[in-house]
Amino acid sequence: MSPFDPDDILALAAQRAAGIKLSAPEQSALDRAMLDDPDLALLIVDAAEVAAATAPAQRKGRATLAALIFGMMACFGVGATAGAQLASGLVGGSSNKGPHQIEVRPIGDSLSLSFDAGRKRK
Amino acid sequence: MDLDQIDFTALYAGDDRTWSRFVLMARPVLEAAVRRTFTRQGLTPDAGLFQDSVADTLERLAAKDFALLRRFDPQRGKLSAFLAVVAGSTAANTLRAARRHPSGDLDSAPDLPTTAPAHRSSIRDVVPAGMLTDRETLVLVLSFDRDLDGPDIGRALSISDNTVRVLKARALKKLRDAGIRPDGTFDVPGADGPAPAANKAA
Repeated sequence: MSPFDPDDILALAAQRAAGIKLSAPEQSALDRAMLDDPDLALLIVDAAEVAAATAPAQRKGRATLAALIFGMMACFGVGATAGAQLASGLVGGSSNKGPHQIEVRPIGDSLSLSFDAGRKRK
Repeated sequence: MDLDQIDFTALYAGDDRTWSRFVLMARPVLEAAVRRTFTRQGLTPDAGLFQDSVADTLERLAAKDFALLRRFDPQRGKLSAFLAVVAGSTAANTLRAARRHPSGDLDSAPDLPTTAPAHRSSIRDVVPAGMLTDRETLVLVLSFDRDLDGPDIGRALSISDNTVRVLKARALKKLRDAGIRPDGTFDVPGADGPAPAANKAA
């Protein structure tokens, strides 16, 4: 008998919808449940889209902030490379790291400038 | 406050204010998921049934001391995805029950097809047991029976679009090699019977 009850299957479906990697037994149990009821696959697809649609505001805000920083750093001469790296770090950074913790690897002339920028923050 | 910042300890302890906050924040997700399920089944979200489904979902989450909600592990996934799966499943159950006991709410709803096309009801009916792996069968079922496209199948199975294509091509080749077309008819000369004959091949 399968160790997974219907509520477990729903939880596994939700994990898959959230993009979480399942263990082999979990994956196999979910696949078998989907074979029995293919509508479960529709649930996963729909849930993934609903979950993505409920969090756009935060991402949009981050993208706007990143564009602003990119523009400001370019204006104040920090350099496009460092600015782009800082901005992309901000957009991609879903961890608890703040923007000041982002590792910036400057190239060429922007090396000392980005170093100064880091020192000013301290 | 974010949905993922819900204080589950207070919620499970029966704190009314936390529950109210949870309902307030969960409602948009639940409504979006229920709406999707209704739309998939060709229904315009009907006020009565729609609200019933949302309320049933909340009831289901809280039943038996939050037994279902407790299955959600914040370390493994997003609460919004969990709520959407439960809401979609509850909406499907509500619609199934409404079709079994029509009360007028579904007057405008098209009936789901209960009779299969003449030749087959599912791709699984034409696949002899043991011929395909579970994954290959699933890809064919989702593709032919549920009309999902490659990216959606990939999302449902957590595999890439390319892997979906490979699995589908491999599965269809196996069927072709056995002389079976996906519609259940045979390519083999002399075999002029449809689906039932395919099952005999098993």
